[in-house]
Amino acid sequence: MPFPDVDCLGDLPPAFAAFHEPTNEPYSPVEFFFTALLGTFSSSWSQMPAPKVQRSHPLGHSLLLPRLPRPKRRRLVTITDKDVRHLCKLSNLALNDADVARMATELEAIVGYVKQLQQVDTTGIEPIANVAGLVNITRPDVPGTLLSQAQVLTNAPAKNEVAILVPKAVDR
Amino acid sequence: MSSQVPPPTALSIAAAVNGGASARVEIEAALARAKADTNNAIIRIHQERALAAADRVQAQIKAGTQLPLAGVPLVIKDNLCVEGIETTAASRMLKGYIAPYTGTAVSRLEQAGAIVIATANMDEFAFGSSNETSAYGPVKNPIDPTRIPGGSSGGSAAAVCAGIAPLALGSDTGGSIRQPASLCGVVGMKPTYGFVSRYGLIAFGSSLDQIGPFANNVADASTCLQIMSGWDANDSTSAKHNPATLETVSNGDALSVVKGLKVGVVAGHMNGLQGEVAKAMEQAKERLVKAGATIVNVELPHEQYAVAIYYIIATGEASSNLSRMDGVRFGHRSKDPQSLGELYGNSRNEGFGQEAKRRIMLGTYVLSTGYYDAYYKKAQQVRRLVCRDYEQAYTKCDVILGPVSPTTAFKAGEKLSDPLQMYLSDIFTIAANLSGVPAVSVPFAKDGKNLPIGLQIQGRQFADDQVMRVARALEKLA
Repeated sequence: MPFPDVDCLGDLPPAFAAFHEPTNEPYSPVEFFFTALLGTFSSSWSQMPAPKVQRSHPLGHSLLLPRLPRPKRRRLVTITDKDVRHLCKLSNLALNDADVARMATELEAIVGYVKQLQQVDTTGIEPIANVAGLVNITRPDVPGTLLSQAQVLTNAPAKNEVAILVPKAVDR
Repeated sequence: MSSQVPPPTALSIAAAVNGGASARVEIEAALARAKADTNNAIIRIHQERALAAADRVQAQIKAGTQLPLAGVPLVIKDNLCVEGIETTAASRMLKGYIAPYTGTAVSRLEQAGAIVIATANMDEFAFGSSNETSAYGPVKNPIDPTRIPGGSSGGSAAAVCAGIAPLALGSDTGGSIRQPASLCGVVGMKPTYGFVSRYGLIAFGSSLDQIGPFANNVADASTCLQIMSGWDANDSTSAKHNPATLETVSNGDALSVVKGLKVGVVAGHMNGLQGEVAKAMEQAKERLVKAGATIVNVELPHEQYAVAIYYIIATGEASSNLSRMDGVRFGHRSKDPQSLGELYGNSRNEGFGQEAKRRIMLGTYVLSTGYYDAYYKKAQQVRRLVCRDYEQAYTKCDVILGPVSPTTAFKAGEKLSDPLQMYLSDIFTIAANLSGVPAVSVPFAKDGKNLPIGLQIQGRQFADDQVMRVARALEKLA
């Protein structure tokens, strides 16, 4: 079983999900329990700041960006290889080990940067999805044809005369 | 490839062809220029289709029809679907994908007599600010081939800059039209969100994406924008506005719009700029004042969070939009998959480039259970604050003048290894996408290395005509 069915990454608060040491072993609920404990007891270590580098920001405020790449043990762990493997599962991307390690480092820097939004007080602010204020635009409930079956099949990489082919998905 | 003589404008070509000049000759010349491209700006040439279209336009004119873009060569970004043409978003993932229909923007331009001669290179799925993530290799800046043209519509900007075509289409999700326009010294416009139908545009960030024009001058860009805009039943987010107001953008004295105009400037925009970009800003302010404008200081206090908001919302939407690339219905399919899961995982791993994977992963992360509220919802809340900042600013001014890019074109490879630094090159352009306002980049000055500096005019939502009028004035003052 590559991953438990529950969304492990999501079931734990980020602070806990963050404390895995990179291993190639899959997640297990038991491991998560201990990881959570470890997270609690080792918080002083984990809060140790990563080496920072000062960079100027075009909008005037100074940015403290983590240096890339950083020593593994010293960094403020946010995204581990294991987290990346879980993201691979969620996003259907089969990354190899080298890519997973690199992705963890890169995502960590980017997530570290976007985390600055937490500073903004958004109490009582409604999230915005459409800037023009449009809500529920529907078309008349009338059937129509956009593409014929032949047109749809044109670009399918594996097909027969009437259908798109995929590997067997259900065992009988 | 850039010649000393300025290339003919789209409007002058259309006038000539409407007056009886040969559309075919015009298109043949453009096709030859596209073939001679040395900057990797053009990745596909549509010779037969273009010549057939030229003959059709010619026949229409002979029959007495006048077409506003008769015989005008048009280059399109590789994420715009045109029936029968390979459309790949510069990704291995979509190699060989033949679009089964034509998107609204291109279709309207073709009906107006424009002729698609070639497809322009771009960053893969529009993910990039330097046009170095394309599966077709990087695009070079025609002004200095050791430098990047900007991205993600770098091929479109370079094609207009090099004189291959007077008009090109791009798409802008966080600055992907304006930044390359600035770095290549051409006009590039991102319309108000909903102004141009997105039907037929390969989706990146659906709440941010807009199709817009590149041209050598504001008049050509305005005409192109007017023709392709307007409500479209095939895009539920397209707005019911009247694009006819754009028709008069080029009428009369270019500077008359400036008299009494309140031009907002943001103090924070002047920090961290390359010296020559800051100087261009000062010059523009001075000249606008001389022409009768008033400069007003405005604040966009949440703009400093724009890049952070953007890389949550845009990647979240991208990860969702790109989930359709699964090796089943179209696009790259991995060889001999043993299971459905393997088909998905391997096809996507082989098909997507590094930056696409990075953004899919980041988007998946911010949308995943437990993180959604902390990242995606939070970003949507701060996005509303950015929108309010703009509303507030526009109670004090009519348009906002600012830089497009903090620097002129940087060297190829300079920011490739540090994604975050690359993302920060869009710092001045992203807020317009977050708030949906129209924004245009106008070439204004050059730095010591002869590299172009563009300045940005932003306006109120659906004041695209006003933005273009002010852009025309700025063009005159440059």
